[in-house]
Amino acid sequence: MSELINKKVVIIGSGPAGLVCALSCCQNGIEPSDMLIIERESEIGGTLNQCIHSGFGKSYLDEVVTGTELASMLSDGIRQLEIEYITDSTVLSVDKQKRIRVVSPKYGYCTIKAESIVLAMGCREKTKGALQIGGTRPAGVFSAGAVQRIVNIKGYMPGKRTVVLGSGDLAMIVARRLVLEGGRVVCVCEPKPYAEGSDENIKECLDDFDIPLYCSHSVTRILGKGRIEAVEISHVDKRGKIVKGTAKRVKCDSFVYQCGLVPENEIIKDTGIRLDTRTRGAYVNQYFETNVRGIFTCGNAVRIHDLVDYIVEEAQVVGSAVKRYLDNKTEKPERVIRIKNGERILYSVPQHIDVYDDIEDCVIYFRVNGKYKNLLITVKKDGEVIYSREKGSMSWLETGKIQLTRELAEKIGDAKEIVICASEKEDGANIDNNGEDKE
Amino acid sequence: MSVTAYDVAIIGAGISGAITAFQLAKYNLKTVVLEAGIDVASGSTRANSAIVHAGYDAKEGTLKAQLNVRGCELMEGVAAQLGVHYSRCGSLVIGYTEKDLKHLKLLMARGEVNGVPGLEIIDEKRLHEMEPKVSQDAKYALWAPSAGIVCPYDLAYALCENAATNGTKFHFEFKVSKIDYDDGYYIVCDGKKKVKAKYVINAAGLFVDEIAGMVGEKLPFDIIPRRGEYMLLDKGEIKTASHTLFVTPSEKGKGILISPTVDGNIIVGPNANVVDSKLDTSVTEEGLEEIAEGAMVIVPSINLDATITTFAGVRATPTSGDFYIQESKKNKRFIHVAGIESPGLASAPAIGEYVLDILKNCGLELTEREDYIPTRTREGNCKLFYEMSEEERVEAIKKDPRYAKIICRCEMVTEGDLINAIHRPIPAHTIDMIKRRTRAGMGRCQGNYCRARIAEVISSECDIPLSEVKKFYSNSNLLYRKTK
Repeated sequence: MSELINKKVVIIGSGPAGLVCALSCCQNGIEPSDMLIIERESEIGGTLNQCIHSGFGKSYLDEVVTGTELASMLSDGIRQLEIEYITDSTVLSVDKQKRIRVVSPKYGYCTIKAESIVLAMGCREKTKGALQIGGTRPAGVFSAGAVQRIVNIKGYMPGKRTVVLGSGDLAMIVARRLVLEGGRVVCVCEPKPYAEGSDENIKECLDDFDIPLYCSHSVTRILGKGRIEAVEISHVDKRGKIVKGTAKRVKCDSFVYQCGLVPENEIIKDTGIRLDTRTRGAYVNQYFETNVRGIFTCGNAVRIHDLVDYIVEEAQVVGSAVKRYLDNKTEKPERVIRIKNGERILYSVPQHIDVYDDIEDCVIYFRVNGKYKNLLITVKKDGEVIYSREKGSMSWLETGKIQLTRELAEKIGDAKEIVICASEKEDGANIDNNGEDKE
Repeated sequence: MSVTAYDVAIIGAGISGAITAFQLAKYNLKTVVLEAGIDVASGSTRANSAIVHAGYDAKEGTLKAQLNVRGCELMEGVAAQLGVHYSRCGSLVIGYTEKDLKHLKLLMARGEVNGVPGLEIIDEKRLHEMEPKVSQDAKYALWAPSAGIVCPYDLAYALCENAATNGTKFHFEFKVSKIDYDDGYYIVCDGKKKVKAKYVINAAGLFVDEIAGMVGEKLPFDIIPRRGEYMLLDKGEIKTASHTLFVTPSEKGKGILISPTVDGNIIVGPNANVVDSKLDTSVTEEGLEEIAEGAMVIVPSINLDATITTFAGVRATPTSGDFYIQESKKNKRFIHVAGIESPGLASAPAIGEYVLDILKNCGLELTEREDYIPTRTREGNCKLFYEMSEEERVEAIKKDPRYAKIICRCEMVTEGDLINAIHRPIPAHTIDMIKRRTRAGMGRCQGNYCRARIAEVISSECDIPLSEVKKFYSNSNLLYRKTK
């Protein structure tokens, strides 16, 4: 039979969520020797290790660093505290009894019995299957994340003449990277009428490197038998439909696409953890605890984040919540407040608040379902507005925050449910409402 | 230069060539398989519906009807012998109208004549109990419990691996361009290489007509390349259907089907469009729309957003409508296995028997090998990590720690599995060859995560530079150049 190991806290995944959570567990008094981090790559740090661009750590470090710098700072912290981690190790399954099956060069095929688990597996990229591009299936077609790893970690180029589909931040950063490595990016196509990424990235990654951005254009066909030889690019109308007969052939030897990220929660299907169809992550309370007591989750496994800063915030909350759970496992909430998504709200996290003695200060994160110019965010209880804040312009790509303060808690009182809403102020014309099924 | 002499040369390593090689491997014969592609199952066998049809489609009295029913019966045994995933899930042909019901009755009568066991026409109540997601408009169905599913390329690999284990030689990228006859031997050439054999099996799939032409023969029908496009859905959608679901056939053909696959995905397709090129396996936007529409007639709630990949295969459709398996009238000991379109996969085990009988009648002497190995390899039907029991996993890792390193996380494929595939009786040395043998890269992320990692394993195990590792074809390098 396989080896059995006992641990108080097992953290699955060593990206920013897993590492910050581990550090936070220690700060809250959990012994490093009671903890184990499981990582499937050869190094801890997760996706940060391939993010050699700057823009990380603002809230955590009070300075902006590159992804790799943040990864090494966090990893150093883990090593200093002597928190055990195993690399090249993959979790095969997790069950209700908090038994984790792992294959690892160190332990072989083993079972770890954990008192509490933190799911910090991050996310994965959606595949080209979701795009349903016609044509052949040659070599030279990559997702943006795969290219980032190939170029930044492995030191290989995917091609010398690349067409990019998708204008999210990742796609733009990868386009720039290819140019910096001596490649040529023929163009970046975006089916929407505007770029998805930040204005800053449009300037710094595309404009400054003379990479053309074609909005309202999509790649509709891939050509080539062995290696990709060309793609066809077609015009897309305002409703997102491809305009037939507009296809133009563009020669290239590589094609990179970005079509969104999905939380990676495949390993928990035997745990009975309930997933939210909107976020594709687990239903959580304000401590990021799932419906299985003692199993927590944070980072992109909960929902796709726009900023690592929010991941850090969550992971710190989880660190203290794990400690509290270990100290008092039988503690049961007195009541539950459901958080419902009202008009224009794509999702909100946490999905409910567990009230123990009192409603403690916490944050409700939310996203809206489109791109708006002038929004008013409200919280309603029985149809009555108990909180409102002007948000101005906002799109589904950014996270909104509502601080659940003592004052708001009092207004919530003993309500069983509250509703988060976003309404447009009169002068704010809606720009686009098609973000619904984005991420 | 001396040319190696064989008893039998099989042209084509698709399902028909593979089953023939498997059958011949039981006897004391020198057999060679000549394949134009880089791997076994490079043509129609690679991309089809993966269905073991029960045998009610083919007209009574045709060779197709005979071999389909017999093949369907034999499939389970062959699959079990070689450790190939197979499931007798049964199929349902769904009817919506009185007219459909009439047609279903016709199919049932035909099936009974053909010898299909257990056929039944069921009502909507039972249909919806069996398949709750089927359209509420569906009123009847023809239930065929003997139908099944199997992975076509896995079956072809298993058959060829068994043949190779028993001494059969394989030449890949052997594009037959000329066949001469000299002193009792056919001399089969590909421009550079030559082999000679007393018997030749023409199992060249889409190219059987061209091979026949090389010995001065015109087959009594034409081969029309018909492309079928497919969508493959994520494993999370497995509840869409638990049997193979067809609609009542119309003048246009068998129509779109929805079926589970042995690997736990849902396959949707195919359409059937005549194409100019026998190699045109591209998918089209229109084709995918056609499939989506067809699928929604069967299961209106089908989640096509969960499509993980789309692909297409080209079938060798004979204008005669029937299989054509016989010794050439003009050329002695030259046997055509032609016009093997659907249900070629289902019929395969019977095609093997049938070809063997023809060879016997043509005078091929068959004495059984004493050292015959019935499994895929000498070591047995080596399992992949994901197929192993817990104890087997512990053992495998003890023997080779590379079984503890997961490369493809979606399908749980380890480095050990990859290494094993690289050194199997028919070695794999490209990403797609490894993919089809191990399922690495076939899961929901479609190789996004593992493709480059697989390339790294190939690079170190086969000792070739990473930038030289191919996806499949000779000019399909995955990466361009090293930068640091």
